[in-house]
Amino acid sequence: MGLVLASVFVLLGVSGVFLFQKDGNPYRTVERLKPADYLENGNSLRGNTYQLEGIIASSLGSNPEKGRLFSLRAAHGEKEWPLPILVPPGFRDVNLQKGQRYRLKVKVNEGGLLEVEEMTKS
Amino acid sequence: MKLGFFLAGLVVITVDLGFAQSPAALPPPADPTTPAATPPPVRKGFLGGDVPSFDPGSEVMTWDGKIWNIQDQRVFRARFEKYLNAEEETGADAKKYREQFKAMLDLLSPAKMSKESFRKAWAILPQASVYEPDAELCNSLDDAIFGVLLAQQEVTKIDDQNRNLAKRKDTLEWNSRFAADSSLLGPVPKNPVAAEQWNREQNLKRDMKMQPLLTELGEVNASIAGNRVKKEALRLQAKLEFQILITQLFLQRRFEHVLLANRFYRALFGDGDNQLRVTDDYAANQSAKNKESFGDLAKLPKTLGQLDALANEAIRDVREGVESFSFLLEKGELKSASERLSEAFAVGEYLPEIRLLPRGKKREVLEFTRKSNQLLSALEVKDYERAAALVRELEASSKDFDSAKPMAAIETARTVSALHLAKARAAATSGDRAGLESELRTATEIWPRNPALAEVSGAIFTQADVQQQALNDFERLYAQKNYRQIYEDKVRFIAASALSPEKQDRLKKVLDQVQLAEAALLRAAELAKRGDAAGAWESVEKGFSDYPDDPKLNQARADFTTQAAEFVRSLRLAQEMERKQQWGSALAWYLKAQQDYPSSEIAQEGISRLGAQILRP
Repeated sequence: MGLVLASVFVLLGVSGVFLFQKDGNPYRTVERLKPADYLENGNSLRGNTYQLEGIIASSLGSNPEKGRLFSLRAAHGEKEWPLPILVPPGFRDVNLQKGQRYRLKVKVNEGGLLEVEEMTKS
Repeated sequence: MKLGFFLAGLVVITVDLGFAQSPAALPPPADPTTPAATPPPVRKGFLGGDVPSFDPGSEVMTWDGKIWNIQDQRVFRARFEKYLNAEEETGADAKKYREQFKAMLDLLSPAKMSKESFRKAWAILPQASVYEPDAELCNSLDDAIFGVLLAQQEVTKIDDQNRNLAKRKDTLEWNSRFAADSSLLGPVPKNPVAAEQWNREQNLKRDMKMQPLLTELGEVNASIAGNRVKKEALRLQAKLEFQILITQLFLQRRFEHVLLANRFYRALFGDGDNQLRVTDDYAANQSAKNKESFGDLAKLPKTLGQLDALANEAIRDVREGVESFSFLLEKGELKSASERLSEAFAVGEYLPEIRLLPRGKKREVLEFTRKSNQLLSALEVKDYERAAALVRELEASSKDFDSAKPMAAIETARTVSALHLAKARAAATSGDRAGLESELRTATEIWPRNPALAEVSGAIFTQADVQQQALNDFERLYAQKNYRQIYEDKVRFIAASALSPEKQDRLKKVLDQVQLAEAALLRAAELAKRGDAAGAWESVEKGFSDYPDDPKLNQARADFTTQAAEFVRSLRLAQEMERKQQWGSALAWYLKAQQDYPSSEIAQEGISRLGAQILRP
């Protein structure tokens, strides 16, 4: 009996964690971007997809065809790294503002730039 | 050297100091202010207008269209100075000589003239010639007298010959007449034919007798006539030789000898013929060279009486000159005293009045004369500093010294020289090399010993050297890109390149560049004071990009790099990534740099630049 109860508690605990995680990070299966690696050689990461979370720091410019360019303060470890992200025109309906926190799924495009594929407020 | 002097305001004569130098060969008057520059009007004396004339006012001698100042003649000045230093001739020999001269003149005076007194006077001549200053002129006179006497002996012989010839002529004439008369003596044939034959024979005999007589008579007549001509020629030759000697003595200013020789002449040639034939017989044939050396004989007096009077006048003039000298000396008027004595000396160097003047008196004017001569020399060589000093000394020593003329010359030369030096300075400043040399040369010619000349020319040439050196330094530093050193010496280079537009342009660019670097450094220093090391670095970095070779910027850049290492690293990496066209990483690094130093202009520029690049369609 005791063993059964213990197993139930473990199962409930694992299930709880799973459920909790599924609700907080939709890109939990995607690898987290290490900013230091990106800064060191962004081109070497071309074609890869990463998840990223940070705060919109500033708008760096926009182009109707290319999209919008933002600076994102991404936290990694104890440090915050300012990273440029390109928000393609498909996200033109998303109202991005300074100070908003987002969880992003980005791809390092051919230009070595972090191009947003998906994004959710966090 | 010729010297003339004006006597009694009327008579002008020429004397010869014995130097074979023509007035034309003499140097021009030394003092440029002397009126010698314009010849005074020639006085029309009784000997004509071409004779030398002396203007006592200006001390200028005019002769044959040539002018000179008697005080300016170096030889004369030296001779006069020597005389001033010489002891007076008051020794026993000199005294004896004077007495002998006096005795001869006395014996030959018209009142005492006799054969006996002539012989006594003649006997004294060889004794007088022993005295050295006589220069054996008495001996020459003695020889001339002897020559005349020999000629007279010859004339006497010719007279004796002519007397004998006249007797012979009388005899021959009588014999001829007798021969002619005796030819028709004897019985004449009665037959007409025989008588005619006889007459022819008698005439033939008479002709044969008279022929030798007539031939000899002709020869005697010719001899008599020839002897007469010879006698006249001998007499004339003797006169001429004696006259030439007297003329020579006159030209040598041996006026006492002229008087003595004249008296001997009158004693020797008692015919009353005093015409001076030297001018008539020799002047026409006198060569130009001879004229140059001894003067134009055509301009001499026409009679011995005139020559005698001129000699007496010269002696009197010298006596008065010496008296005037003594008086002026007492009054302390050294200039006038010196002038009177030099005039008297020029005329009567050998006269007793001059020779007996005490050395003590002469030495009083010696210093003045010496300084006067030095003044003339100083003016001749254009040493105006020395001349001015001498003028001051002469003014102090003599009451009557007139400094106006020399000072005018000195001041004029100084002013003109200073003017040319000023022009030389201006030419040097404007880089006019030809003008500089020309003005310096002119200034040097006007006043060769001008103290300012060396100073100014030295300064000018030093300046030129400095200028050239500065330009060389500029070129070297420019080639080394050592703009900082050029900036440090900018004043020198700006001055040196003033005349070179090309160098000026390059210098301006260099100075602008360094100026910007300096501004960057100043800004960096200010930011560093506020603890903004990144800002300081960025300021230096911006200056460095314009002027990467500046050592000061390099040093400051190195210093601030360590103080803002993180920021600098970010920027470096950003730039490196940008260079590799890793736009994302580069932009990330620029953003990182901006995070480190939000005011960074370099980071902002990089972000803007890359943003535009990324968003470019």
